[in-house]
Order: sequence, then structure tokens, then C-alpha cells
Amino acid sequence: MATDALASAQKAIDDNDNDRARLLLNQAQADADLALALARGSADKKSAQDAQAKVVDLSKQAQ
Amino acid sequence: MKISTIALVTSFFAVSLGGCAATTPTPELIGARQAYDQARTDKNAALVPDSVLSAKQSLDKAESMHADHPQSDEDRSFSYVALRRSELSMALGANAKAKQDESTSAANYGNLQNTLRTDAVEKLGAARGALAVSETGLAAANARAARAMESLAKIAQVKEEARGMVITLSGQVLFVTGKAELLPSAQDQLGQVAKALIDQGEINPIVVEGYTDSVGSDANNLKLSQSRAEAVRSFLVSKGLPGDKLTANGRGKSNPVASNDTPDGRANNRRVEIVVAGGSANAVSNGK
Repeated sequence: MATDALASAQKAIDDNDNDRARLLLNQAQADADLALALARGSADKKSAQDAQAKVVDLSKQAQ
Repeated sequence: MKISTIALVTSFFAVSLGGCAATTPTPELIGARQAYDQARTDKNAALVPDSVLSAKQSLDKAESMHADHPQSDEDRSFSYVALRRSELSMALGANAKAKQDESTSAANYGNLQNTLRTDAVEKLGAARGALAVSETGLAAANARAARAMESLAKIAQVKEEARGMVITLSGQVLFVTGKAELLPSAQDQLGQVAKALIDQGEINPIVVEGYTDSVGSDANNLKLSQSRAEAVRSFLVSKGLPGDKLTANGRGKSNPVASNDTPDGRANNRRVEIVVAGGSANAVSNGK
């Protein structure tokens, strides 16, 4: 989505429609920020699950 | 008047239509409001209050833009960005929660490791203590058994055989010839044997075997050897050895250890053997 918005922004710049380009760049920035957070979230969730699995394994060893 | 009324009504509709256009939110703004409501009450997003505040500010800008320029590109674009900011705050909140869970799990893992390590160290310490006590006890028992065997070796012939430890006492020093009564000196000697056996520690089954030389009838020899074996057994029991572990067995002239053709040989054959099952590693022979 950020890529689409960027492409649209580029077209607006080419058309000398700077106001529209600014709006589209803001949208692209918001899309990119969200995409980055979601990507990091996936990795963080995996790390948290791995850590939890280690605790469970160690608990089983202790029994 | 009529004209004024028409003008008033016209103005009213114009204002109403204008107000309606200004307050009808775009789909983007509706989505942005819903997203912010969700972010505002999201538990994970509460972990990232700055991000939620940023989403709120973004929504405020969108509302302002909607009020000033309804249905415009700016109206839609600001709402779109506001929607994304609210979604971002929830995503960052979820990330923060995942990090928090990971930290908690890491702490739990560390605590669990410490607990296991502490338990293992305590168990190891207890095992070492028990081992030390056991080794000390074993060393003391071995020393006691060795001393007992040394005492025994001074008063009797002691040797290890397949059937166990054999303590041989000469019949001459134990009994009057042809009788089964113990001599006073024999009682002293047997008393020392009893003490040595008791000092050894655990008492294994013991068989007291009586033997004679070949002089006389087999029946008499068998009877005499049995009586002598029982006399020795009774004396040992009276000195503290457990009666249920001791048996007496008269063997007559069987199993001679020397020739019955000479006085010395016959003297050696007249004997009492105290056989301790299991024997002793400390058994020694002093040739008596």
C-alpha cells in the first residue's frame, strides 16, 4: 500500500500537483510505519513464543 | 411577509444542507474514529501511551480538516493517516506486549535454572554428607573387624575356606579326655572367641562342628563330638552370640586333619571348628 501511495505521489509531483503529492506522501509514510511495526511484531512474537517454550521445556526437565 | 417567510425557509434549508454536508463523515473518518476507539481501549496499546496520543492528535487533525474542508481530498487523506496511526499504536502495543512476555519468560527461565541449580547443589551436598558418614562408618567397621580378627588369631587357628571362616580349637585345651565338659581355661579362650565374633559386627550363621580321633566306636565318637559341639555352642550363646544363628553339629571321626596313627595326629583330629558363613576378609592363620 505504501508503494502504491508512493507511486501516486510521484505522479502528482510529475503533474505539479504538490498539495496532492504531500497528502499521498503522508499516507505512504503512515502505511510504511504500520507495515514496519507489523513486521517487527511478527519477529517479537516468535521470540516470545520461543522463550516461553524454553521455560516449558525446562519445567518438564525439573519434574 | 410572504416573501420574508419564503426567504427564511430557504435560508433554513440552505443552512441545513450545508450543515449536513459538514457533519457527514467520510468513510475514512468513520474508520479512523472506530480505530481510535479500539486503540484507546486496547490493553496492549496501553503499553505505548505516546503512540496512542499521537493517534489521538492525528484524529483531531482529521476531524478539524473534515470540519473545515468536508469531503475534500485533505479530509479523506488526514482521516486515512489517522486510521493508520491508531492501527500503528495497536501494533506497537502488541509488540511491546510480546517483548514484555519474552522478558517475563526469560526471567522465569533464569529463576527456574537457579532453583534447579540450588536443588542439585543441595542434593549433592546431602549425598556427599551421607557418603562421608557411610565411609566413616565403613572404615570404623573394617577397623573393628580387623582388630577382632587379630584378637582371634592370637587364641586360635583361623583360616578362610569355601564354607566360610573356620576357627579351629584343639579338643585337648577345651575338654577333659572323653568328656564334654569345658575346662576352665577353655572357657576363657572361648570367651575371647565370642568377644571377637561379636566385635566383628554383623553376625553371620555359625556352625560349631565337633570332631574326634578314630579311637573308639563310631557311635561313641559321634555322640561325644555332638555333645562337645553343643557345649561350645551353649557357651558362645551364653557370652552374647545369638542362639538362632548358632547350630551344633557332631561329625565324629570324619574329616581328619592329620593321621590317626600317631599321638600328635590324633590330638590334632580331636578338635572343634567354628565355621562362620561368609567368612571374613581379615581372616588370618597363625598356625595354632
